[in-house]
Amino acid sequence: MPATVPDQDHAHYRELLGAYALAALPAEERTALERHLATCPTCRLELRSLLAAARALPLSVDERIPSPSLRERIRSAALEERERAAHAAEPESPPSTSRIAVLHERRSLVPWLAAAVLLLFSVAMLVWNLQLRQEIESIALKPAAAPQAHGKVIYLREWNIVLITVEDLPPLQPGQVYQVWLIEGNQPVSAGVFTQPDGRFAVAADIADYSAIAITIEQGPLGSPAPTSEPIVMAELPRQSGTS
Amino acid sequence: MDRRDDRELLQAIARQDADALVALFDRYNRLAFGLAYRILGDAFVAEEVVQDAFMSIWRNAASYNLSRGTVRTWLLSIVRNRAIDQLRGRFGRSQSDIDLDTVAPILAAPDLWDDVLTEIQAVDVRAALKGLPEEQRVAIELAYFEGLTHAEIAERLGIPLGTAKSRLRLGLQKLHDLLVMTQVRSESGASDGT
Ligand SMILES: [Zn+2]
Repeated sequence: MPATVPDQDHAHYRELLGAYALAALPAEERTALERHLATCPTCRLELRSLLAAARALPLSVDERIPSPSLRERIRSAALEERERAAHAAEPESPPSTSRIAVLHERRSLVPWLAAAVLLLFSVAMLVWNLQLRQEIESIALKPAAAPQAHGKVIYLREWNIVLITVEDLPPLQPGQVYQVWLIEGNQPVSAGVFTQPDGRFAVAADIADYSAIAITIEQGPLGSPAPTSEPIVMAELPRQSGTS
Repeated sequence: MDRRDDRELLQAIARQDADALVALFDRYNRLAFGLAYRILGDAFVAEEVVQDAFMSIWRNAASYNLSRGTVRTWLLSIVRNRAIDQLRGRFGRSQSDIDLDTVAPILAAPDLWDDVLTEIQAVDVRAALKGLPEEQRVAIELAYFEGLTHAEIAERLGIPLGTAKSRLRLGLQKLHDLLVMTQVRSESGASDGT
């Protein structure tokens, strides 16, 4: 062991090696240990065998057969991503978000709420309180690429919770999902995916940071890093500053 | 069956050959799904995790190097990290993925034992785990399959932090030794062909 490493440090860090090999160390301790590892061959040697043992652990589980569709889902997701990467390589500007229609319908949603909040009792309580205080905003999701589709967005501002309800979305092909996007300028940020054409769900987000919300159909199960199709419904979000 | 070995498949994946990705899937999907399911206990989310892991390999195959272990090890560590992220509600890039990258250069070239490890069988790992003192096995499993930190393990088990640390370390040491012994035995003993 190099003389620059005090014995007591070494003893301390050596005790952490097992936790480190199992990724069970909090970030600060991890960083400190890595500094020590860079200077201590004894610890590096031991870590090597601990890590080898840790790497064997997943083999102990019972194998399990996933659903038959997973194989093709992965293939098509890979092909689609390859395609997209090829397009992205072309010097073309991304589609603008100017298609996002505006529809403000603020504070007009109360009868609908009772149904919307069934998904979470705690949210129901929260909405009830908010409702009394008139701090709820409801925005209609307007049909875009899909004429029948519609829905609503309710923003619980104090809690940074967005409740979204959708109806009559166009059906998905196998392996596809609906993906929700929050958009600022030309930058869509994924807010989550779902698969029911009639659904209600909650998203934790501060929509004051965004100017629009849109839903597209993407490859599942996790959706896409950026939208690959036209929005099926969308809405412009009210600017929060100066409004109330 | 694709006759290319794992590394050849990975090289093809790095060239964005989707058939190679599917061939890798055919080889390891049951193990990957079994691992995700063991951690999450939910088939739907476990499948998402498996797909996410294969897509991560699709994107990052070119960055693979030997210090990550075998291709199987790399895949399973991605599955494990994503599953733990799901379990513990962490999103975005996995912390543990970054760890592996950081550890890699420190560990330099794989040692001989890593080569032995590529042949290791599930039955050997299970037997070795059974050979551990119960409290060490429990601590290791809480870290690996539930993603608990050493402090959380200490709290869960009602033991001092120092005890939790040494159970993890001594347990892995013992596990390593037991695994090496089974490998040495199977290499020197008469092979029964299975
Ligand atoms: Zn040391």
